[in-house]
Amino acid sequence: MRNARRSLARLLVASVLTVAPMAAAQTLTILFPQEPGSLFPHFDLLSLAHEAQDLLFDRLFAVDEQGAYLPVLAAEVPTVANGGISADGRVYTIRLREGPTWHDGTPVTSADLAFTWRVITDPNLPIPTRTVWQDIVSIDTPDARTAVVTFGDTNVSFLGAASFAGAFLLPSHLLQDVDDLANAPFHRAPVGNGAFRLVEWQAGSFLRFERHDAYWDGAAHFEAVVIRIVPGSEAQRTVLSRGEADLVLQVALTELPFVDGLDAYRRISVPTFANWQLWLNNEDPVLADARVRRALVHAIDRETIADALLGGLSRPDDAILPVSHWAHADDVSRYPYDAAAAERLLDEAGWVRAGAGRARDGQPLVVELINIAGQADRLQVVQAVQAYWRAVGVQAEIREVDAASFVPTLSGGDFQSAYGFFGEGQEPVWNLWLGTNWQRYGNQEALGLLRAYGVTVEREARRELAVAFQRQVAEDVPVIVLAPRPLLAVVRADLQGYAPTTTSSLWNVHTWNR
Amino acid sequence: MVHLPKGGPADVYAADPSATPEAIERMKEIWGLDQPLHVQYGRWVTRLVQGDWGRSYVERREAIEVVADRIGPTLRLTGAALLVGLVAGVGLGVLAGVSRSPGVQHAVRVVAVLGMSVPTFWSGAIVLLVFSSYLRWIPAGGVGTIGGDANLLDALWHLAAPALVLGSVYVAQWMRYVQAGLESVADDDYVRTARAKGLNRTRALLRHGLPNVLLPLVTVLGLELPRLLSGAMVTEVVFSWPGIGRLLHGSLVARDYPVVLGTLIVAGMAVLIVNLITDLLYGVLDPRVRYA
Repeated sequence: MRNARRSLARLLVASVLTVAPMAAAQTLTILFPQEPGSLFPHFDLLSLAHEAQDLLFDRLFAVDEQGAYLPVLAAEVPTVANGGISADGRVYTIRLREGPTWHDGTPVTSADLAFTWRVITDPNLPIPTRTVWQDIVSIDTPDARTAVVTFGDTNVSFLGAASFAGAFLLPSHLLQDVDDLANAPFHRAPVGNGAFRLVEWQAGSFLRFERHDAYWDGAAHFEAVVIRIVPGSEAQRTVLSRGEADLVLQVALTELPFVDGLDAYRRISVPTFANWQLWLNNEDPVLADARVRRALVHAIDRETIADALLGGLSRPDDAILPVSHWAHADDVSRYPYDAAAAERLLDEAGWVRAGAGRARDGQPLVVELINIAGQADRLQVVQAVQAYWRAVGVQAEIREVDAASFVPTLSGGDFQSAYGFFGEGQEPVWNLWLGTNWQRYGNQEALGLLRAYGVTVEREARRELAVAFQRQVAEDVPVIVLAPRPLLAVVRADLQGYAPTTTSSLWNVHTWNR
Repeated sequence: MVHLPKGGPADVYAADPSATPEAIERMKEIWGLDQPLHVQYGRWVTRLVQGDWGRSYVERREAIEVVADRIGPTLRLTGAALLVGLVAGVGLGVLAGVSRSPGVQHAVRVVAVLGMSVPTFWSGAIVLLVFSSYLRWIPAGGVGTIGGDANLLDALWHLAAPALVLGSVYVAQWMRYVQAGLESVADDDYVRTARAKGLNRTRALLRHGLPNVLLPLVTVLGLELPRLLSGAMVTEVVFSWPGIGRLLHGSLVARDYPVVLGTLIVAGMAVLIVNLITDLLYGVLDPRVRYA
C-alpha cells in the first residue's frame, strides 16, 4: 500500500514536470486518430495497432500491390511446386531468411515461429482470434532456419494468415520464460525485428521509433518515425494545414473536401477486400423472406451513395468479394436502383401499401437499422438508406449504439439490419459465414461450398468454389453490399515510396524517402 | 453504472467477425468478467484497499499508472484555466463593478454573454483555425513540441490556447459574480463609512468591498471543479491534450472498467481536496470563520 502511494506520488510529480524532449532530424510523422493500447502482436484486433506493429515487426510474408505473396522473414514463398507445401496441403515447410535479427541482436529463428504458434493457441491467454493457427497440430524445427508446420487437415489459408497485418513473430528468447504474457511489459515496450524500434511512448500524445540500423533489408531512410495521436478532426485539419504530418491513416470521408484543398498533400485510395455493407438478420420474421431482402437492395440508389457519401472511391457491386480480389465473381445477380421493382417485390411478399408505409395482416413494415454512433460519415449513409427505404414504404428506424455494444448486438441476434464494413483476406477464411455468421445465413448448400473451399489445394478450383458461393449469396441477399471500402490515406506530396497494399500501409516503410 | 450498457471489454477488444463468440466468452472467463457483478465489484474493492487498482484491459498495465500518466497534463490545463478565469474574471468584474461608464458596462456584458454561451468545442475549433492554421501563433495541439527541447516556454506556448478556451467560460461567470457582488456592497454601511473617511468610491470598493465579495467566490471555485474537469474533456480532444478527460472518454468507450473507476476515484479525490482547501481558505480569508 505504501509502495503504491509512493509510486503514485512519483508518477504524479514526473507527470506534472515532464514535457517530452525528442530529436527532430529526418523524422517521418504519421497521424493516428486513435492510440493503440498494446503493441504486443496477436493481442489486439485494432487495425491501427497492426499498422504501428508494422514498424516494429516483420511477417513471414507480405502481399504486394498486385496481391502476390512476397517472402519477408521467409526466404521464399512455399508452393507445391517448390516442395514448400505438401501435395495434400497439410504440411508447410518454411525456410527462414538468413540475416534478420531482433532489435537486441539475437537472430530470428524457427523457434520463434513455433513459440508464436504456442502463444496464439494458449487457451489461458486472451487472444481474440486464433483462426488458422488453431488448426496447426505441430511445428517442428529441424534447424534454426527451418520450420515444418503440420495441419490436421488440408489447410489453404496459412499463407494468407501468415501475411495478415498483425501476424508477426514473437521473440521466444525474451518471452518464453515470462509467466504472465497477458500483462507483460512487452505490451508497451516491445522488442521487434522490423525496420524501427520503439524508444518512447508518451501516453495520449505520441509514440517514437528509431531506425534499426541492422535491419536485414538495409537501414531505413528515415532516422525516426513519430506516431502522433490526434483524435479531433479540428486538430487533424490544423496539423495538415501546417504541413506537420507526412501521412494520415484512417481519414474520415467527411474530411475529403478539406484534404482536396491542400496543395502539400495528396490522397491515396487503394482497393482492399472489404465492403461497406448492411447485415440483414435472415432469421428475423420480416427479413426471412428473400423477396423482402431483394426489395431492400433494389430500393437503395447505391451509385448515389457511393458518389455522394462514400467519396466516389469505388463502384457498388453485388458480389461479396470486391472486384480487386482474385476470387471475385463477375456474373452474379444484379440489383440496380429500381424503386418500382422494390415495390413489386414487397407487394408479392404481402406487404401492401398502407398510407405512407406498408403493412401485412395489420402489422406495419418496420425495419430497424443499427449504426455505430459518433461518426458523421456513417450516420449520413444510414440516413440515406432510411430515406430510400421509406420511399418504397419501409419504415426504417435508426438505432445508434456505441462501438462496444455493436458486436454483442449483432452476435446476439438482437437486430434486423446493421451498417458496417467487413473484408476477407487475401486467402478468405470465411469467418463471417462459417464462424460468427451475424447475418444468420442458413443456406447449407452454399455454406458447404465454403467448407469444400477450405480443403481444396488447387487455387483455380478454390476460385470456382468462391465464385459459386458469391453467386448464391447474391441470389439470397443475406447482406447488402453497398460499395467496396478502400484504404484511404492522406500523404505529403513529396513523400516517396508509400505503396499501401490490401493488408498494410507501412509494410515497406524502410524504403520511404522525402 | 458502467456495466449497464450492452457490451464489455472483450466485445471491444475483439470487435471483428473473425473473433468468434467462443473466443469472446473465453476472454471474459480469463478476465473474470463472467462472474456476477457483485462478485466482480467485491474483488475490485478488496484489491483496491490493498493498493491494487486493477489492470487496464486496453493498455495492459496497472490502471494506477494509466491514470497517473494523465494527471499531470490535466493539472496543468485545469490549473491554468482556473488562473485565467480568476485573473480575467475578477479583473473584469472589478472593472464593471466600479465603473459607471455605460460603454464599459455594455462591453463587459457582451463578454459575459459570449463567454457563457459559446461552447468550448466551437471556440476551440475557431482558435485553432485562426491562431494556428492561419496566423501560426500557436501550435496545433499537444503538450510540447515533438522534436524540440523540453522547456518551460514551449510548455506555456502549448498550454496558452487550451487554457484560455477552457478558462473563458469561467471568466464570464466569475466576472458576473464579482460585478454583482461589488454593486450589492456599494451602499453597505462599511463602504459608506470608508467613503465618509475620505476614500473615493473606487478605492472604498476595492479596499473594503472586494474582500467580502471574493469570499463566496472561493466557495464557487470549489463547487466548479467537477464542471471544470468535464469541460476539460472537450478541450482535451480539440487540442489533442493527453489529460484525464480524454482518458475517461476513451475508457468508457472501450469499457476499460479499472481505468474508468480509477479516473473517477482521482476526480472524486480532487473534488474532496479542493473542497478541503476551500474550507481552509475560508478560514484564512474570513476572521469570523477562523475564530468560530
